[in-house]
Amino acid sequence: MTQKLTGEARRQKLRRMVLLDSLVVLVLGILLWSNLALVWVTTTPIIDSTKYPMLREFVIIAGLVEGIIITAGLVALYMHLSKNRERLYVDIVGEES
Amino acid sequence: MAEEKVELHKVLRPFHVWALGVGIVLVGEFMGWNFTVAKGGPIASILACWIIGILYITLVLVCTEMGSAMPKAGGPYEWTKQVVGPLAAWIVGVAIVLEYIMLEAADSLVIGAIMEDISGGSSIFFCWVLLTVAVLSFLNYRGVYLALTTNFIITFIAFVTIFIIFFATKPLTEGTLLDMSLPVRSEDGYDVTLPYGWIGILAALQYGLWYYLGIEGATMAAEECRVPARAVPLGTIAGMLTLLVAATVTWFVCTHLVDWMTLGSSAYPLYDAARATGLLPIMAALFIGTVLSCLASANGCINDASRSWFSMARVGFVNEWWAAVHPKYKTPYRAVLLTMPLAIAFGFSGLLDQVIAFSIASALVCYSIVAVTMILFRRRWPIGSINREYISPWHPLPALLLLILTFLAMTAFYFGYAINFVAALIFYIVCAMYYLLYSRKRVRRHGEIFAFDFPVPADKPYIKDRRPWKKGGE
Repeated sequence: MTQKLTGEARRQKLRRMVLLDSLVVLVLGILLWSNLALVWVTTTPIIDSTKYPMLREFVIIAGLVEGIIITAGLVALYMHLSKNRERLYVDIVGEES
Repeated sequence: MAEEKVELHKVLRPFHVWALGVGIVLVGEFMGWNFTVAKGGPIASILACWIIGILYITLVLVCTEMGSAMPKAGGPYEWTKQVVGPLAAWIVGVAIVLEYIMLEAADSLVIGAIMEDISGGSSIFFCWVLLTVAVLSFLNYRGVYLALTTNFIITFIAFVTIFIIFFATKPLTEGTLLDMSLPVRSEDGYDVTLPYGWIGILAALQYGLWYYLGIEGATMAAEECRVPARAVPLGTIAGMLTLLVAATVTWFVCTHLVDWMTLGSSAYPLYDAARATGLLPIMAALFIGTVLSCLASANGCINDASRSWFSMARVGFVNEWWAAVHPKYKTPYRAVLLTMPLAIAFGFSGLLDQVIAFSIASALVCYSIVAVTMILFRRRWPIGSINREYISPWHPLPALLLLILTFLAMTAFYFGYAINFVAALIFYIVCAMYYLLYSRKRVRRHGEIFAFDFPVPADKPYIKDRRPWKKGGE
């Protein structure tokens, strides 16, 4: 059910909602970078670079590109949530009276 | 039963969108992805995981922008209809319906096979296929909120089981259960870094799609969301991140626990990895995770296939009788019921790899058109010309990367399933001819091709005049 909030209470609730949503994706983003790092740290040192030149670099670059693009998507998501919070959380905080 | 054409229920929140996207795909972490190891070895497998991961990240960014700007049940079909035109939309719509129905059939097949394995009998296989499809179809018939809340619970449990095995192996301690050299050296001591050379990486890409196949379906819940502009970007991007994390953890655990030859031919790689730990609770958890992921996937597939069919029926691409909404549950119940006999028919075929191959081919056809749609969307309606909500970063890079990687995946897929791929392309050419010769007249008669009242496209000011059915609808 929609809560009726006004003034400062409403603004604080909106800020909290944006932070909460951002926190969820931030945690997932940190998990992703941790996983990428785990694979780089454990796997790339055991690849024989004399036998497979550039393979180690290829593994690192593939992970980096993946991580960078999704991080850019996350930043765009945060900006979208933050900029449009008045409209996006209307089902939770209700219309400004 | 009396029915009326009304709007779908707007009840979904971001976690439902997450559950729809991740639920459909998570089964790919429990089975299928491991054939990348057979094709190119463990290192080629992680490269396939990350390269195909880039394909799907770009797809998600593109779909999120168009999905939040055009929140309609058909998803990619609706965007293509609005931006490119009805012929491309018809192909995308059919591709989506078949992609998800085939996936649903494959999920029910796997559940049948698991239950048959457990019981040791052969007669119950078809009963389980039938039961799975029937129960999940009823759930979707009964209401989208119930179906996707159930999906959220079972998807979350399945996701957690992947982390249970990860932490059970004690990956960061000295007493780890993992053999850290296994990704480059087999149990016999042979070098397996790239057993088939660099070409193995390309070969692995075709199965790399299993890690993420179907995530774009998350955006198809847009019309049923309370606030699509929040639920679609948040749910879809969080879903993609979840899958990237799950895929990397799955690869890490499996390749460090199981020898590549065993892993490459395994039917249930995560369950086999659990067996390698020798810990009974872990085996039980991963068995439950495998079954739940199949159920979640089939459940999400029914949702997406029915929404796409429902959307096509709304404007006359297929008979409008299918576009009915249930008066009480507000679901497209006829479209939901349509998926049932189709999924059962494909499920009873027992041809798991053929069913999956057609699903993948359909998905790749869809992705290539979606990439072009995104480029045209930004060209025809530049930023500022319409309210587009989430704005994808670095355009046109994601759309171009999506197009390039889709063609790379098609090439890899062709090497593995040439006949299936050519057959699928011929099927979609026949579909296009069906539209041009028959369905087009009905769509024109319907007269409401555009779902959104966008301004005249910036690059084609004459485009409205070229479409007489739009004039008829005005």
